[in-house]
Amino acid sequence: MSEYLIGALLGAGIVAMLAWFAWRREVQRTAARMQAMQDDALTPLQQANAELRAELDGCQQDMAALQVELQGLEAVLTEQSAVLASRDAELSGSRQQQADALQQARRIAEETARLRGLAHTFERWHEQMISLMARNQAMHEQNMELASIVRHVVIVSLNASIEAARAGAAGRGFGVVASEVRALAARSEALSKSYGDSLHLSDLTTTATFQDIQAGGKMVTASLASVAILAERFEEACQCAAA
Amino acid sequence: MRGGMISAAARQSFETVLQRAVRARLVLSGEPCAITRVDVRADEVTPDDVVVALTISSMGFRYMLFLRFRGDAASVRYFAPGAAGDFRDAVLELGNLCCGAINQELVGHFPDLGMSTPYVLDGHCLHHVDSLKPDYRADFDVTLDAASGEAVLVGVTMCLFTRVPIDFHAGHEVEMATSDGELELF
Repeated sequence: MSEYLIGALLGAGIVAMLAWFAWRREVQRTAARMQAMQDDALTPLQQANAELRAELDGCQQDMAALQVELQGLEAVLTEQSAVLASRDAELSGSRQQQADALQQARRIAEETARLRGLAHTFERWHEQMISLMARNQAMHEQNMELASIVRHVVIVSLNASIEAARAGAAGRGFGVVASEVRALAARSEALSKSYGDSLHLSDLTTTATFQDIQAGGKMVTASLASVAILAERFEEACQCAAA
Repeated sequence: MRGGMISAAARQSFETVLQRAVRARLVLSGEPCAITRVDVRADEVTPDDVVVALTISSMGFRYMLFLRFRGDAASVRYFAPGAAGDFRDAVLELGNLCCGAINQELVGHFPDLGMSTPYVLDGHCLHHVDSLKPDYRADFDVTLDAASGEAVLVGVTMCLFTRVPIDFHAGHEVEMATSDGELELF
């Protein structure tokens, strides 16, 4: 009985051992399969991880490069800001200059317009010249009248001398007076001629002087007109620049 | 006298400009025109003579032109064929045109110029021109052979007064605009 029991136990032990071996083998197979599965699952993950790490490294490098670029751009920005500020200051100065130039241009235009009033001065000189020449002409006429009187006096004194001669000794004194009158008339005639010459010289001098003033006035007026046109163009250019 | 301030070329040029103006404005119908330089104008003045005086002024110098028109029948017929009463007005306008032509040519060399209106003087005034002390003076006799066969004489005197040196060359003749130099009232 005990043999049977021992045999049974031995058989059972052998079965159990076989079963254990089988179980263990199954476990090992499962573990190997699981390991294989785990390995299969882990490899892509590791690859992905490596890729991500590489990508991360690339990104970090890119970031570093961008950081450097950003710093460069910040430096450029600072520089540009300084230039812009300088330009702003220049622009502001330029605008001020334009405003000043415009103001100056307006002032020049106003002054030029005001100086056109010189035409009235020239007109006044013209009137005075006409008046002077008219006075000269009146003096010419008076001198001619005087010359005519003097010629008449000469004739009268000649007649007086003749009559004195006819009267003989009684007319001797009268003859002396007549001769004196004739001498005075001759001097008056010479004086009248000299006076006439002076008047002609005066006419010439007055005309030359007046014409120089008149022509000079026209020259000034023409020059002012040119300046006025230039001032107008300058003002327009300043206005365009300011707009 | 500052005659030395006017160069020989400038003197010649002023005379050339004057002669061109005379031929352009005083010759009315293309008659032959002789212009002769004379030293001193000593001929007798008659009461009918009309002397037209004009001035061109610049900043540095002035130029005076005296045109002596004789009041004889030939001159009156030539310059004022309509009526004798128009003779004075006619020669005034001719003098103005002549001086205008000079002004037109000179303005090409001297930009700032102004011209006076013409003024009539007695012929005796010409005897006193030297008393104005011109720095340069030139006298010419202009003889126009009018169609009637009678010669028309015009005396031309040019005077220059300057405070600055003058030198220019008149160059070739330029076409004169007909609108310039017309009688202008001040």
